[in-house]
Amino acid sequence: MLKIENLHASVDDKPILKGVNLEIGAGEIHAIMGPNGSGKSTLAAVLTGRDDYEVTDGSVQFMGKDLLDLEPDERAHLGLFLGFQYPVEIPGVSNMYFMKASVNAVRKGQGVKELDAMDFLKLVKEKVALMEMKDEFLHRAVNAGFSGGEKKRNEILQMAMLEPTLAILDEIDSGLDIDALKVVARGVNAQKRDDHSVLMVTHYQRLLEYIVPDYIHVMSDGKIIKSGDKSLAFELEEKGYGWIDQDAA
Amino acid sequence: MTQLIDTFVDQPGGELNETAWLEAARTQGVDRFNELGIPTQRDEDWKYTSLRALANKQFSLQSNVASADLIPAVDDEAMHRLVFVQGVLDEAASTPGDLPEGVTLMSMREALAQGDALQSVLRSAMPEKANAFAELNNGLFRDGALLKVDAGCRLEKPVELVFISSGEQTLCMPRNLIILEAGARASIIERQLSDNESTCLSNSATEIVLAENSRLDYNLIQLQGEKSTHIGGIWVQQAAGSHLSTRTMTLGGTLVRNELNVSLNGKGAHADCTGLFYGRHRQHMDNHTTIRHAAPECTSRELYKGILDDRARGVFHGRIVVEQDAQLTLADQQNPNLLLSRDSEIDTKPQLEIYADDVKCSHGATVGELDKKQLFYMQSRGLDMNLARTLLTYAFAAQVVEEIEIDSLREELIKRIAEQMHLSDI
Ligand SMILES: Nc1ncnc2c1ncn2[C@@H]1O[C@H](COP(=O)(O)OP(=O)(O)OP(=O)(O)O)[C@@H](O)[C@H]1O
Ligand SMILES: [Mg+2]
Repeated sequence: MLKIENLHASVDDKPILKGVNLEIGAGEIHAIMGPNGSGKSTLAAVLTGRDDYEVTDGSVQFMGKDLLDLEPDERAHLGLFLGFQYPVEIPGVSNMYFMKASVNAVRKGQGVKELDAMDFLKLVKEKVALMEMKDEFLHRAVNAGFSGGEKKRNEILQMAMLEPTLAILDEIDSGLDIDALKVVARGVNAQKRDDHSVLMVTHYQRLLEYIVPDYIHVMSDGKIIKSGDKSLAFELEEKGYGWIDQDAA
Repeated sequence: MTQLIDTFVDQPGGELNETAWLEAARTQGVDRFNELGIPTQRDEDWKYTSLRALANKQFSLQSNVASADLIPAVDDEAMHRLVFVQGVLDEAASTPGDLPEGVTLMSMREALAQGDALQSVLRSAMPEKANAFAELNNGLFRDGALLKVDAGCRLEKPVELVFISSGEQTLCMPRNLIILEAGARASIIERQLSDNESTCLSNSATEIVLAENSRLDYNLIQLQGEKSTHIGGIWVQQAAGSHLSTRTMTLGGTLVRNELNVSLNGKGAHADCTGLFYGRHRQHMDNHTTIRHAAPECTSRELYKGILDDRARGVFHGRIVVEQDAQLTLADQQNPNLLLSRDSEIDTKPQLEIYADDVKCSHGATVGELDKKQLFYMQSRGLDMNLARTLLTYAFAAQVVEEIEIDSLREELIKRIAEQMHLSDI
């Protein structure tokens, strides 16, 4: 489904990704861990097409297409979703309106009939219930004045609405209390299907108890320096990142 | 010698049969208008707004009949409404409804015919020497609205004053007077309308006197057609503890100048003045505000947002004067603007004159483009760049519109702005 080969990217001529290789198959859950500043969010941004980053080398195939050729919205139409580490506030646009515009833009991009007001409302009510959110959040402006945890919940709500083929979730667990973590994990697990994959960035093993990954990767200085199964997370929790750097060297 | 008034205004003949004081006031207005002349851009207050298009024209005061379909179809029960056509009350179209005890709402002409009660109030909110257009209005106004709310009385429903102008080079000059006695409360909608063909000039003057602890919500909605010119002045005198909010929504007209002059004369008075101007094509929209803090512990807030597209031009001139006695003044003025095209333009000019020492005044003006992070967020959720931009522009506008307190008006404007931006079912 996703194949990243030798991906290099820089911002303002400063190299940040220095040769990332990663392959994600249909239905798989991958986790990326790694020290602060190692390039995890940059990878997510490059994959979703933020234009401050310049790709200097390498390629990314997604659903059989050259992902790097596409506009961010076209990537979303292909089924790519990014749950932001820092969700953006959009005062003045209601959450409900935004989600409707989003769902219908993606459907239109996929050549599927757009949802009418009734069908949309039904869908959104169902997902809001799944995320244990109050209806009130639908009528508030997108993320505006939301608490840190509420913003993360809102990201997963949008993911649940869009049912993406590949969801990239950047530190979706940070700032969540334990109950919220369970709800968010439930949201992610509910969307897992044989043909839907998840790539999550996290610092904490705790998240991986609720969303069990098939693979764990360690990123350091713009590269993936180690991959393994979920047991790697325990090792990292115990020993930190230092030992891998030495191993890899 | 031919006077400016004769070349600028084609007046109908005939006597008005008015009282001596009013006649004298009119003569004074006309004399001053002749003296002052049409302002040019050499005048600091008109630096960014050219009236050349008006200068060599003659406007007719002859009243015209306006197309009735301009009268907004709103629930008659919801508001006390007066409709003015070419500045003169159209009784048939008006639906003032039942007014609560202690509330007077009538046409200015009728009020003046009733006696000398207005002698001491009319012109009392304007400065001794007003600008040329205010003086022109002083000289030639025919009608307008008078609203008076007695002490302690409260108007639950809004008063809606609809001004319809029409015709070719016509001039209409409504004159309004709003008086809230101590503790009184009211909300008002002023609607300026004309059809798209009309090349009228409307020159309205509104005086507002707010007594102790009264509370007024004033909404000025500019929706004139694309060839109409509007020059409007509002003068407000506020006593201690009074509260004024103004919402100035400029969405129409070819050349619009909104002047707002607020004097905070009594301790603890508050003025909250927000506005939106959304110009397209070759529209020119000028908001000229003066807030005078003349007493201690008064607060004022101004937030005017501008959105300019195509070749539209916007002006915001915000003057804040803090007099020597006005200690503990709190004043904030913000003017963020969005330029959506390369040919659009904004001139923004804050002007702070502070003569007291213990005050907090802040101001900021920005000219910006849309936020890249927000655009990317929206795009990453599937919205194309065009829709993302439109939605952010809408959001920028909506944030001021949402401050309108009258629900039906707020919803109407939100819808109208969304429609202008081709956004469906917001
Ligand atoms: N727009 C930018 N301008 C300059 N430097 C940037 C920019 N974006 C990222 N960087 C730098 O690139 C490096 C990688 O940042 P990135 O956000 O990808 O790290 P991360 O692995 O997600 O870290 P964290 O775990 O703290 O979220 C950092 O050193 C960061 O300062
Ligand atoms: Mg990060």
